[in-house]
Amino acid sequence: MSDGPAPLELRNLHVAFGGNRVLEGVDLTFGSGFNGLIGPNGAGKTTMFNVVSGYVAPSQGEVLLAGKDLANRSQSARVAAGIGRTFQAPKLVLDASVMENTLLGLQQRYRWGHLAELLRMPWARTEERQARRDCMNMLERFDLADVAHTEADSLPLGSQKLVEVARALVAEPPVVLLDEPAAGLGADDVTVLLRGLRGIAAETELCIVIIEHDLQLVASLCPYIAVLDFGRIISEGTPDEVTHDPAVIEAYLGHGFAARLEAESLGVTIGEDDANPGAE
Amino acid sequence: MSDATIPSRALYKPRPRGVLGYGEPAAVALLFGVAALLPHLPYGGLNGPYWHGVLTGILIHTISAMGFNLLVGWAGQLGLAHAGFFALGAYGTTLLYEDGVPYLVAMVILGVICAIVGIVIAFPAARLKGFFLAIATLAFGELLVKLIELGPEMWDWLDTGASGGRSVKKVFSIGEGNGPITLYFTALIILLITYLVMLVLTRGRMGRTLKAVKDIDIATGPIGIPATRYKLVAFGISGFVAAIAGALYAQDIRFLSPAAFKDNLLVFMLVILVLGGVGRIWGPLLGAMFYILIREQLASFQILRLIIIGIALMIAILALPYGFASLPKRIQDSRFGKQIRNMPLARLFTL
Repeated sequence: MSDGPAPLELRNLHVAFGGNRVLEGVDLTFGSGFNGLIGPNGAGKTTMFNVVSGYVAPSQGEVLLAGKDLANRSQSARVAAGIGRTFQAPKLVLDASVMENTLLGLQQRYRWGHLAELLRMPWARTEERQARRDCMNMLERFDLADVAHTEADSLPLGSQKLVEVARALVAEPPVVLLDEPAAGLGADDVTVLLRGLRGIAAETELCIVIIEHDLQLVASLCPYIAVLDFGRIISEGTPDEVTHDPAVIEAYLGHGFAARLEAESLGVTIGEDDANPGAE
Repeated sequence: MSDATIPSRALYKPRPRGVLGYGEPAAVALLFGVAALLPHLPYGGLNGPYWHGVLTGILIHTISAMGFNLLVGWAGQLGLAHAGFFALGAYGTTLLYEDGVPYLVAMVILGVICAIVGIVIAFPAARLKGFFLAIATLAFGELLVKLIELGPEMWDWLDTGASGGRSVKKVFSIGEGNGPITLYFTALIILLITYLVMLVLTRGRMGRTLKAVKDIDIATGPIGIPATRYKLVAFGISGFVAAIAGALYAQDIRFLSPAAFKDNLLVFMLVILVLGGVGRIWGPLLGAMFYILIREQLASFQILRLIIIGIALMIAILALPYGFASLPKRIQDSRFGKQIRNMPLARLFTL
């Protein structure tokens, strides 16, 4: 894993909305497998995703995808280069089926244009069928194959979030950004989500970055965790290192709690308030 | 991606079957077959010149609304220059034909021109949303009609007639003196082609991508959809279709005047679209049928007609907010529909 550049690297990233500095010099390197990104609300986690996917331009710093600078690349060019993502509130086409929504994740893979589609050329139809097969396999991983032809708006929110994760993963982009995939999910859906994600991580070399408020979930899934607070990385390392870092405890719970909680040796789930500015 | 296939799972959504168990292609063939026979019905039927005119009008406005529907219903772009392109198609084809270009060729040329103009105005329009887009494109459509009206005063070569009023050289006959009615059948064939193109486009990758542009515009970039490109394509296709329909319309009305293409035509197009069902493939046909038939039936009521049409439209929209095309599903989902399906006789016919 140490050979070659890291799948995703952020160098000295600065972002400001007007006078409001959201990210102040973030340096992070994400390797393949699961990476956790945690921090209190308003820490800049979603903004960081938005910078990587090109929705927000950084005022300074660079984003490297497998060593290549992504500056000046359009959003869809970044997807073509290999970035997939989900959103805090699922962004599905509600009057389209689950299958169609998942197929949108393969948009960049189609080699034949719409003219070939219109004329129903055999090669275009083969391509479509293969895309649908891949989507079905991905939906299968998240227990969604049975509802593949159901309209997205008739699914519960938990399933909609799973569809979004499937859409982000179906093209198997080298870097996948998941923004709070487990927030709002019931226990069953979380189990399905984790099983699906673990299955994919075991079979591929994808770099999966997860923003999550549920600390236990992140700690159980991610061998590497970075903690963001007020636009700065205040701690990074293994779950054990991070959860015992006094700076992290202070950021999450305030100064007074730090000593007491250290004594309790931490098995704490941090609050699940998910009103995060800059979520869109 | 693994090549393991799952043969037991349907990759495509199973299509519902008709009441008698026939598939969709059969239903469409039947519908067009009936449409081809309509003008030949015996006396007392729909074979007079008056009815030919009404039926042709329905076909032309269905074609036009199908193009409009792709832009408004699928791509979600409230581009209101449609009447302008319709006018450009009508005048342009007429003028080219008089210069010796075969009518169908002239039609396609104007279609391409309108597609290009549509794409050009879509460049700024793609940055606008909702009402702002509507106002900008509305102004552009009016500008096109104004150019037709005032153009001849500025440029000699633009022969759209004084104040844009001019007669049209006849190409297709509309059944004068019990002659053939080539315009109706030409329109029917063009409608069939338009329908098939729209069917393939909206059911496939284009359709779902346009839906994404409509519903999750802001998220299209991060999931890899070049939304602007698709908006341009939708503007282009709808411009092309509008020009074709306009060219047929010129042959139908035989005398062009800018008044026929001003905002009342646009309102007419919007009513057809909304009545029929925005974003439904059969919406345009149902909307055009309802609106044109009701308008013709009430012709003798003169001024009262407008009031009756207004009330009828309000009732239709209140009862069926998603248009006539949503009616079958509404019936199916209703208690009445479920009762029907459970009746032994109905089970004989449905699959």
